[in-house]
Amino acid sequence: MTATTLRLCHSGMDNRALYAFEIFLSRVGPGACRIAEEDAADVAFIDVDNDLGPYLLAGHRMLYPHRPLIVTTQAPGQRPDPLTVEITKPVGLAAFSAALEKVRSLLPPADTATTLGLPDAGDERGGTVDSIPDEIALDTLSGAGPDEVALLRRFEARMATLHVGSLPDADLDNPAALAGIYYDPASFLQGLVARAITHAREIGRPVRIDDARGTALILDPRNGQAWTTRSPNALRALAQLPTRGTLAMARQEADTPLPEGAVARPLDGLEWELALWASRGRLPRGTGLEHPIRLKSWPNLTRLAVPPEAMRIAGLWSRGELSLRETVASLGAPQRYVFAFYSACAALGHVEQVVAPAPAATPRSPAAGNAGVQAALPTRGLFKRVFGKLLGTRPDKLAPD
Amino acid sequence: MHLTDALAPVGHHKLIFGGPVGAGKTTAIGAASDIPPLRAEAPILGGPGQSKPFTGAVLDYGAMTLGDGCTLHLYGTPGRERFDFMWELLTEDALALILLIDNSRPDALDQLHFHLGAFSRFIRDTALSVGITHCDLGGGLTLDDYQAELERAGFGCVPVFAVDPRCRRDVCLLIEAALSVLAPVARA
Ligand SMILES: Nc1nc2c(ncn2[C@@H]2O[C@H](COP(=O)(O)OP(=O)(O)OP(=O)(O)O)[C@@H](O)[C@H]2O)c(=O)[nH]1
Ligand SMILES: [Mg+2]
Repeated sequence: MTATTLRLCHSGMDNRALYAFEIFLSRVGPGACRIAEEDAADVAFIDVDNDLGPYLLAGHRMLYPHRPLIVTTQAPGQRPDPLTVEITKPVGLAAFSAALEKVRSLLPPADTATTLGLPDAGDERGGTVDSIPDEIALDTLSGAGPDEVALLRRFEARMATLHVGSLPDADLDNPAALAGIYYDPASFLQGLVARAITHAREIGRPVRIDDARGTALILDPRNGQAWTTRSPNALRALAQLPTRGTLAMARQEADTPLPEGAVARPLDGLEWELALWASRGRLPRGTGLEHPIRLKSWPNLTRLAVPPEAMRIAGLWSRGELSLRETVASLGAPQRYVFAFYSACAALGHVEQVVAPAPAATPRSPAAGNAGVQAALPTRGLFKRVFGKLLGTRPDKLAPD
Repeated sequence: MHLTDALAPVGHHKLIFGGPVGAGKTTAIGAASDIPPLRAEAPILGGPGQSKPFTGAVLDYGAMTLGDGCTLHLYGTPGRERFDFMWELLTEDALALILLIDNSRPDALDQLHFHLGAFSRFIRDTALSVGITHCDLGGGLTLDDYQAELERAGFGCVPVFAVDPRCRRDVCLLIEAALSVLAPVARA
């Protein structure tokens, strides 16, 4: 096998560490490896001594079960799985090069340098988005060709997986299987942020969320802003795993300056994403599968991350009250798409469950009243095609991670 | 290409962009269209306080060619109310209304109310999505305020998005929302 350039992503490094790391990499040897986006990497590099390290490690494993990891630590010997290569700190050039070699031997024999990452989910002839696992064995990858739209579709498909996880459909009639479709928002960053926002409203002051590394978030519902000091990847890692008491909220005093490097973002967009990340295709505990759902208002999907099939699900709910079970059946979409979208909508108060059990769906929207117009519509496939147009946008215009 | 040519292939895949003067209809069609958008403009001097030098009976036309070669025709109505006789004509055979409302105007809710009334028959027969524009310029209203006005007017739960008509992605999402209200179960 020829020594291809390994694509390496770094999780949870701040800018200064990244700068030092890049200088280090430049000395490893030409073409040995290069820094890549997390979604397109062959190998991830994680410092497990860092407070966030264990989260990043677990989160990475969850998202990319087949990806080799290089972990650096002062206390070696923890090697958690055969795809993880440990390096004892301080990291020397020789040890790092040896680790890269080891990673190469762990990768399936494929030309990693020319592959692009994912099969074309939008390909009408081939697989569907739902058939894409979190990470694909590298030897199943094929070149995308120069088609920008195809590449962007892959990108969107990948983003979609990040937003709805990869949970397979459960048998909703099997009580034992039902346990797996629920999560408890209160155990995740999502729940803590919701409590913090309530508290902030009560005291009329911003509230911050701290972990062992310091302040991760500052939430100010008065102006609908959140500030975060963490990279999107680090925040996602934090949001995907139960907090287990590692986070605390505290009042942000007026004279306390914002942490260095804090970046502002709209609070609702943050709550939405925290819910998607915690949900990973599951429902908030206590959500009924048979109770009709009422869409109170549409989420502002131009300014929120758009999980797969969100438009069609909202379109369906805006026409009449359907239960979650009926929604899944009507759309023929994977359960996780419907459940993740419901969870995010519930987090922002866009949906509620009607207490009475569902009668036959009653159309509410004006559009639903005109069956004649509908039957004549050549809309079959129109959505996917409009979606295809969407992908003609520049990558920087795509929904934020 | 002449405007008459553009109007000829009107089929089922026709979308109407409506809304008050300056809301962003021309801009939105230009952002979404694959072809250079067409405009037929009869200049009329703007009145005092008009930020644009003139605004006339402008018909906008654009088209998006979708994957299989089928075309979505995008029509912009003239913003001026005195051209509202054209609105009726334009909506014939159309799939849905994309209504743009300029959030920076103090009478934004009245504008929404007026256009819901003017297009009510068409909306009740088809579908509606509402794009709130000029959000970057401030304005006191939230999306909830517009949603409440839609509920009051009896239109129920309608997609209302903050939209920058200069951004193709925003315009496409607004179109997608209208189509998904129309036929959520249809899929490729
Ligand atoms: N800052 C800002 N400018 C916008 C926005 N939307 C539209 N514009 C600008 O507003 C002006 C008017 O937009 P048009 O697209 O001409 O509006 P229109 O609805 O076609 O107006 P009429 O044809 O006169 O009815 C243009 O200069 C646009 O660039 C927005 O969201 N933010
Ligand atoms: Mg115009």
